[in-house]
Amino acid sequence: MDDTVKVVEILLVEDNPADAELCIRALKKSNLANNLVWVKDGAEALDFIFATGAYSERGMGNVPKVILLDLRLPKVNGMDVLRQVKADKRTQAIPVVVLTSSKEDRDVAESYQLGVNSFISKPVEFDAFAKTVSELGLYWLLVNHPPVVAK
Amino acid sequence: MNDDTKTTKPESLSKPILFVRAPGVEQMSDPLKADWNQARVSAVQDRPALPDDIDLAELIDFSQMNMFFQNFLEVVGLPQAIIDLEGRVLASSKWQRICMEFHRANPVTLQRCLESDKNLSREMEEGKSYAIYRCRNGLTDCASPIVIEGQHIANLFIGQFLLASPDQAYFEAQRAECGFDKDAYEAALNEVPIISEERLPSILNLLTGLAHQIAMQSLAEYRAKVAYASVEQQVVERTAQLRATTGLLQHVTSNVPGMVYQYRLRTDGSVCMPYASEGMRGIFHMAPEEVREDASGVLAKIHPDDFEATVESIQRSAHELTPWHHEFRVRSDDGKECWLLGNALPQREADGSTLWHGFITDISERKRSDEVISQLNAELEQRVEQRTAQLEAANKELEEFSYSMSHDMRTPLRALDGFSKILLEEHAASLDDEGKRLLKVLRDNAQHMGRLVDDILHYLSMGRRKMESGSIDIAGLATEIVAELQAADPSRRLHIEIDRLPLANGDRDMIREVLHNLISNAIKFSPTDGEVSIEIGSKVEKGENIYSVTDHGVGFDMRYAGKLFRVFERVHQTGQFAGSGIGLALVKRIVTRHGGRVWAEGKVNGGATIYFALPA
Repeated sequence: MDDTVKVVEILLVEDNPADAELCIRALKKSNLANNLVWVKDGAEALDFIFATGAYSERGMGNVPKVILLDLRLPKVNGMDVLRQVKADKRTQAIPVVVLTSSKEDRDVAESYQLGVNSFISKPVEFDAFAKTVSELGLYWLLVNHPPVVAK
Repeated sequence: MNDDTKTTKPESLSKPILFVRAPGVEQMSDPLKADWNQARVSAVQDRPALPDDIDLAELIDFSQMNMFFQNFLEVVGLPQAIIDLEGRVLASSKWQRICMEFHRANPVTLQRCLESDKNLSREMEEGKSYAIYRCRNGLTDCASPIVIEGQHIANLFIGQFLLASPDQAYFEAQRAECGFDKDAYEAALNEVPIISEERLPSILNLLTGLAHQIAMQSLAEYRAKVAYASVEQQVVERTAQLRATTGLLQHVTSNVPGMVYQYRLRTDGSVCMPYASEGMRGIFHMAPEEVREDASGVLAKIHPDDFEATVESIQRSAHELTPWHHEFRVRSDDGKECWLLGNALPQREADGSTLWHGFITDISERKRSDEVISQLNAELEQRVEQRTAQLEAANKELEEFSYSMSHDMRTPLRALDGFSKILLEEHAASLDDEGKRLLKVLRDNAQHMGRLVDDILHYLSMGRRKMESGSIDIAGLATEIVAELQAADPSRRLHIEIDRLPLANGDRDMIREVLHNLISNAIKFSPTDGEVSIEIGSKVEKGENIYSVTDHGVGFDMRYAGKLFRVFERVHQTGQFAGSGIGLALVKRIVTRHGGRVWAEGKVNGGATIYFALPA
């Protein structure tokens, strides 16, 4: 019940707990993690975004300001999540940032085809990673003007 | 005849014709079989051989003369003999009794006879045409040489006469010395004719002429016999050779695999085979005799599908007089087919026909083998294709595996690095210096591994990426890279000479990486103090553009040149120079994908040059 009321700013879709923890830490450092929701697989991500399944009570009025999406996810993989998000009028305006280990050209290409807003490769080195994440967060939450969903 | 001539006595009649005292012949005897003559045989054998090893004296049958000499003796009354140079009597009429029964019987006087003969011979040897002399026993002899083909082989003697009345005192003395019976000896002496000297030459000429004739005849006979024998011998030899040759020819042609033959194409278009070996039976199932005049039966055996081509090939060979070489089938009456190979050389004959000499072999086996081989080849091709596909698939799998493995490693590495950093930052208080140092080592290694993994991924992706193709200004690229590198590290003074470099064709980004790696390597391995001097040059050789990057730094030991381009192999001590060891491997991979090649030359502390060649 608390979840449904709270404003969601960042939806983090990440299956690896270590990566998730590092990411959240980095965002916390920049004070951007206050309204962060973390889901661990693609199915859960879709449930949350479309207020279905476990999150059916959420209501779709509360969309995240940005979705940080890893591509390699169990159940439903990142590309499919992206596809569905960008295919639905209700959600296609939500900025999606693919944050992934992969540097594969085809992943990049496909993501942009599907309408991804940004594609970032996760650096191995923590400092660089932290820097990237906080810059990301800053940009999408503070610098960028969030989309207005037509009512 | 005139009456006048009958009445007056001619002057010539009063002179003796030949003899002053005429001889009688009845008492004369034959010297040939005498002991003393037989004894001469051994003397002859000791004589040096004549040039052509023929003992002419042995050869020439002077005994034919004996009869003549005897007849001549009876007509003319003078003994004659042919005596060889050793004193052997070869032919003779009977001799005077005084010689046979007295002088030649007594050893003393015999010796004198032989000496006389010899002396006379010698005079002849000295080149006289005839000589008259007194024998040591008191009688007079006359001799003329018999020369056959330049060889003085014997002498013709007319002998045992006197030119004047005998010197009685001389003969008496001789008789007494030898103990001859007085009356008998005197009687014998009186039998010796007295001849007028001027008659002698003509008698001699007659006799020597005759002797010469007979000698020549004998010699000719001998020679003919020898020649005939020689010819006979040659004929025997030649016949044997011929038989051998024919036998060999027969043997060879019967045993060669296939058949040898002559084939004639007459101007009227008819054909025959003047010669065909036994092999014909096996190949055309016909006898050589059958085709001697007409070989149309052979043509009839040619497989209908090959007939035209075969005939045409023969025509062509005949027309152009070029060698005939043709493969064709024959079909036997029972339908069995054989592949034949024919080879023959044509020649134009005087009558306008063309005659080939050739051989035909059965190549059915070979054709079968050929089929099997091409089938096997096709199968092989297929298998090779399959294998290649398998190998390619396996390769791809391996690369994919490496890729995803490396890829998957990045995440845990990130965790390693991240959490150790957190530990350092947020729990510094509970860590002592040593603890901090240990953590730092952890972090450094995690980061290092991260770089390795990134390098591997990058290297592998160079193989999978699709290659672009375009014209590349190498010199321009190099200049850009140098500027970047200089900007990245202003402290190093870079002096890089770039020659005029030919344009290359390939993937610009990839080639950029190649140059970036080579140039930054060159800088890395150059001495850190002073100016870094590098040359980038090129040469064109055998259809390749060869580019080179030369530095004057630490260089490397040429013994390890082979390791340079391998992934992670190092030719300097670990830690001496930064870098994961993948740079050159990457260069090689990219250049190889472009169809080029790389190699390096270097000297320890003497700098190094890396060459890469791209197809022009």
